[in-house]
Amino acid sequence: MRAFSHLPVRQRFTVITMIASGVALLLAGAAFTTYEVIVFRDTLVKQLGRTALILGENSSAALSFRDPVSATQTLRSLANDPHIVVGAIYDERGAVFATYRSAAAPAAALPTTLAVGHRFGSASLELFQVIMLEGDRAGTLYLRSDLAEMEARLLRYVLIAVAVLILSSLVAWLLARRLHPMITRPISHLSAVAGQVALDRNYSVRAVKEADDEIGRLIDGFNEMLAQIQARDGELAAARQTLELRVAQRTGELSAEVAERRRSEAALLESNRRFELVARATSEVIWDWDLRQGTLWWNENLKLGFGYETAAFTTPESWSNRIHPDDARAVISGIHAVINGGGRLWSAEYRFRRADGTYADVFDRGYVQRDENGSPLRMIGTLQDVTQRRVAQAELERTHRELVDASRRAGQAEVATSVLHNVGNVLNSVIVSSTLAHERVCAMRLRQFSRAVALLEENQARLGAFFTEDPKGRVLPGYLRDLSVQLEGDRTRVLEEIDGLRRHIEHIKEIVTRQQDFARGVGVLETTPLAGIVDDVIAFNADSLARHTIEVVKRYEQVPLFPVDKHRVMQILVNLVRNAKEALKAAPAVAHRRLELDLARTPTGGVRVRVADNGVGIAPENLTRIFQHGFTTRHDGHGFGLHSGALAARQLGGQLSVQSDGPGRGAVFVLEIPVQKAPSC
Amino acid sequence: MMATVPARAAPNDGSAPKETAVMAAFLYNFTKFIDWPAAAYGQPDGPFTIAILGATTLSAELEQAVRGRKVGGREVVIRLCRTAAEAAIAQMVFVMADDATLRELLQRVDGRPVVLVGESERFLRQGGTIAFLFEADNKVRFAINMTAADRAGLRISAQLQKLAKSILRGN
Repeated sequence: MRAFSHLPVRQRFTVITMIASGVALLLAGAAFTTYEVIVFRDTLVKQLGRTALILGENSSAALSFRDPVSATQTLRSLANDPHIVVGAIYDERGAVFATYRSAAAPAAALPTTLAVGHRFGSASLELFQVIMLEGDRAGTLYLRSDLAEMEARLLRYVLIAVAVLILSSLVAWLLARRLHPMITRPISHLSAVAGQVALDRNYSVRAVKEADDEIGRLIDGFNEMLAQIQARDGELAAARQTLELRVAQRTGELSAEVAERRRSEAALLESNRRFELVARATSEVIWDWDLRQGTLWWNENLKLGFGYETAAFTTPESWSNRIHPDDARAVISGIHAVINGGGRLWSAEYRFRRADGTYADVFDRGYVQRDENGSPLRMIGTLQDVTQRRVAQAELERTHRELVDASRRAGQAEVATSVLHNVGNVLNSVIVSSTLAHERVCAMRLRQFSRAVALLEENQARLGAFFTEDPKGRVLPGYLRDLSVQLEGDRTRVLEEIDGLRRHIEHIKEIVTRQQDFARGVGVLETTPLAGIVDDVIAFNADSLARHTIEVVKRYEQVPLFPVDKHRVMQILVNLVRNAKEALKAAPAVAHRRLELDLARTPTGGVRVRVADNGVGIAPENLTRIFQHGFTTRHDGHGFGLHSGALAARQLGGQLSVQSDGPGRGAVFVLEIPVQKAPSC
Repeated sequence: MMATVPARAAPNDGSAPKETAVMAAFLYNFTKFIDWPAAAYGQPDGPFTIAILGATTLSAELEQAVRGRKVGGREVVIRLCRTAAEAAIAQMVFVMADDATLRELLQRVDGRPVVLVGESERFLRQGGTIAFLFEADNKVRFAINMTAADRAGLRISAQLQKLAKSILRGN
């Protein structure tokens, strides 16, 4: 079998054809021979049976009448058949009655037992047949035939079969030789092409297809495979070229990335180092609470400041258990309210137990970090021991109070200056108002009135004719009407000035009163709309603003009504407006001088008054000093206005601030006042 | 043509039982090789009657030989007869009688299909159908009078004829 598998396909084909035809012929021959043998044996049995029947018939009388001679004569007819070797007749009791032996086997033995029927021996056929006569058993006939004829026939068949086998094998071999190229040629061709491809690595060759059978499809598949390999080779070569480029490019990118990573690592390292230095430099204890894991981290200052090992302080309980029992509930509920309530900043002051058992006053504050959904991730904060500061603060407050008292006493001069300054400011307005009133009164057309009166006196005798005939007299009533209208107007304006004068004087009185209040330390709180105060301030300065062609823009938002020290506010605002006016006066280049006054709420719930001008502006270096005592940029200023304004704002609980983009760009002053809920007196 | 068989001393009394048995068997066997016409029987389904005239010793042997057997599909009846008239109605008669009785029998059965079996060639010549012959080696053989058989309308098979020691024919 191994040798067979090494044969070329052509020879294998021939061998297979030969084996197939040979086996088919052998099987057919064997089947035919077997069939012939069976048929022949059957024929032989029937023949022998017929012979036995005739012999039995012919010997029945001899048996009936006990005549073995006659029976023997009858048996002698068996000599006609050369294959019958022995014949015998037994009587009804089984005794031998007559026998026959062929000339070829004169000494052949007779069977000793009688068994009806036929049986084949190794080289013979035996037959026992009962001889019947009129329904009675007359005896038994025995015949034995040799199988020489069958053997001769078998031999003949075998010889014929061998001859046919040889002949057909020859024909099969010739046919196979003629037919095998139909199958082997395409395979040999494919094999040759495959060998060539394997040898030359040349994938451009193709096998030629001859028929559309399995081999044809195999060749198609082979060609398709070659085409794919060829295409892939091309792609591979192209890929190899681009790969080198990409490797170079990627290497460059990677080295850049590595450098970048190194830089960021260095930056991170530096940042960490800085953090550690800062953490070491400050005495504050830094903590970091992972809200999802529930773990707490503390820096080394915990050990330094409170004597605890940080390794033992990893749970929120390690912290909360050390809060003073009186503070604990409020602190813990407070921090959780911030964490769970969506807040970011938390701070609390409480007492925290040190490792030695004493309590420290601490100021603790933290910042909650949240994810994009607002869920808390971590909280980071600092714990500050303010025990020392508390003591210092108490000390400071005491010192401060002493200082305030001292300064109140020692600040008499400043107070006086303040009063004088404020009164002076108002006095300026008083002078202006009185001068205006004076001018208006002077300008009144009293002389024209006198002339009209004189004219009337001249014509006293003939007043009727004067009014009807004299041209002057005819226009006089109209003239007098115009004059009276003018005088009415003049009177109104003078009265306005006088009213302003009265208010200025009232302001002066207030300043004096407030100064007295200030000396007592208490201002008078009035529930007055702030808009009214601002309006008053503008009204005080209306004339000089109009004189200097300054446009006043007012924007009032609805603000809450609350008790406020009206005169202190007014004093601040008057100062601011005056400063703005001076700034605008000092900026002649500005074509359109504007003063804006805004009233609005602050995000913290207070009220803010904004006074903005587009005047000379403030140099950046002066912004920080502008509220200092004695600072002024004006030649005639004494540097008290803004200082006292800032002080007054602080006394109101609010503050005064300034913004300016620099010289020539205007300035904005903002007064913020907290809303005071309830009057304190 | 007839061969003379040496006469035996006392064949009549049937002393040798073996010969008696052989004769009984032969008697029955003869029926197998002889065809009786239908007219031989008084009734269509009547029995086949074998009459024994004058001999008594054979009847027991014969009874035994035919027991359970039939001839041509008919019952076999063995009848011991004293007179020719009695025997004449049978289909086969074994005769061991004197000449007068034989003549009467022959007259009675003349032309009728009755097989007459006797014990001598003389019986055959007198008109019997078949006669037993006793040979020296105690073998029992027989001879046939074909003329008588033909006259009686009986057909005797060739096999039987072939086995006969002699056949009487002619006249």
